[in-house]
Amino acid sequence: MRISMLRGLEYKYMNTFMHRMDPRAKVFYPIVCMVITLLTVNVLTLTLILSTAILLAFAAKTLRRLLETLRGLFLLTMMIFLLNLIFMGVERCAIAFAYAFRLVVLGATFSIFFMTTSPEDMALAMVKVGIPYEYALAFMSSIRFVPTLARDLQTIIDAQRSRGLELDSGGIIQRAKNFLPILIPLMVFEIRRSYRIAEAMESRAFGSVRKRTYVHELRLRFSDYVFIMSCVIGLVLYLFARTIWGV
Amino acid sequence: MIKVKDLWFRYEEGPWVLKGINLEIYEGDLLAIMGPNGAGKTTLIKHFNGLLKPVKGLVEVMGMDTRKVSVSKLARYVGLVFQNPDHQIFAETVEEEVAFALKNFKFSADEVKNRLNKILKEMGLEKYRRRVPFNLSGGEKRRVAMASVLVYDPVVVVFDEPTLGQDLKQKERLGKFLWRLNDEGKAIVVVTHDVEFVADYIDEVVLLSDGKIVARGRAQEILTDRDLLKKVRLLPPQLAETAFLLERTLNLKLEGNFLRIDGFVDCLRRWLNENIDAKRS
Repeated sequence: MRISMLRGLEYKYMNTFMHRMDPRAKVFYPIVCMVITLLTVNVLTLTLILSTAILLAFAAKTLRRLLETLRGLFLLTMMIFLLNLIFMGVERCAIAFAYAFRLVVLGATFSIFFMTTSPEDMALAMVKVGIPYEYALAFMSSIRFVPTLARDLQTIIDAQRSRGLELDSGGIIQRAKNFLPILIPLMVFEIRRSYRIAEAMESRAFGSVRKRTYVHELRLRFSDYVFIMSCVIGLVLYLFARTIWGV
Repeated sequence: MIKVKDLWFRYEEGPWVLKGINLEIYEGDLLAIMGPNGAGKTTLIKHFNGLLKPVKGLVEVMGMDTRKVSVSKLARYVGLVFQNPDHQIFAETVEEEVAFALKNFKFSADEVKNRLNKILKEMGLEKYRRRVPFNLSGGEKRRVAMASVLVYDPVVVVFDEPTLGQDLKQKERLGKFLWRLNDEGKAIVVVTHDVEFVADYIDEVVLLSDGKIVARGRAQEILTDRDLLKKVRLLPPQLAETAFLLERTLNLKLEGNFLRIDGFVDCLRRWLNENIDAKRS
């Protein structure tokens, strides 16, 4: 797994229509795409969805990072393709390809959402739809700490390679074992970090006030409704096409 | 041992982090790399064992071009002790943790045993050998991390911020330990902000600022140059400040190496002797 894959979850402030959109509207896009992606194995349909993702990423000025994310996913995609090929047989090569392609499409559509939505807005949207603040905060923190996690991961890889660890050496089992000296410190380090953060939050009186107020309020605007409608229409059109042509 | 020639480096398409670094490190060098945050110190030392490869220029370790050799081969010669031991500790016992590099470098079982016993004794970790390293104190974990690098006997040892969060006694122990390693002929490179530690234990200083080397020289010269230190956002050591105040207020100019307390007392005594003698005569 390349670390660049994690960049697909990293939010950077920009002022584009995708960044400004209400997260409650924006989330329709990856969800609709996911539904279609999981229903179809038609490569053309999947390509069409990927094209919309590329167009949106271009409009949101995040195309470069999207491509990096996809490059990071390449190894995993190849693995899925090869495993499907092995278990399903060469004659079902197209299906194996579609299964692998699904991952690329899912990765692309979800990363656009994460790349253009600040964790704060995400949490706010979750609270708005009735999820308790504590859960929204836990979700927000897990997204916000992805870049930190990626940095820690890189440092750990560097530290172990400096002691002679070769990640790419040996057969499949050995290669999996090679990752233990990376994953164990990462897990221990991050669990400890979460305790430290919890302590720091509690010492600043987190949870002492039951009713929270918010500096920013989310409001769905006309353009947000248009976007939601576009997504719903896209889904309806697909379902229609599916019943007629079976795509 | 290490030759850096016109090294330029940047992360992906970001700005240049290192801009034309030239540096040579020889056997027996005891060197500190200092500079403000973001100067490129850690980026530079990651070139010493090939974790990072030059975008332009060349880094040679024991005559090998780091671009053409694997990290594990270079790591055999250059040991890098990372700032935070929690970034590397993974094994169930201290001895497994310390032996990790030896197994990676394919040392024989006997050699692993001998080296392990020796280093655990030297680092005062014998009684912890079967303990879980995650549960040790900060200082002990740091010693485990150091032992896990020193155990394979690299010829150059690079320490990234080794004094961070260490109390006086631990710093003292570390300083003397560096001297001992240096006496064995190893080249020691320390990346640090700790001017007092450098004044007490390190011979030579390289000042790095904005990806360039702005000065290299004896610690005595560099750490007493107030303008230079100000430029790289470092405070002079207290004894250098004291010497400066003595000169400004009492016109008492100390000559010689006064960065360490014994040297300071010697310089002061010499000055007093010379001036009192001069007055008497």
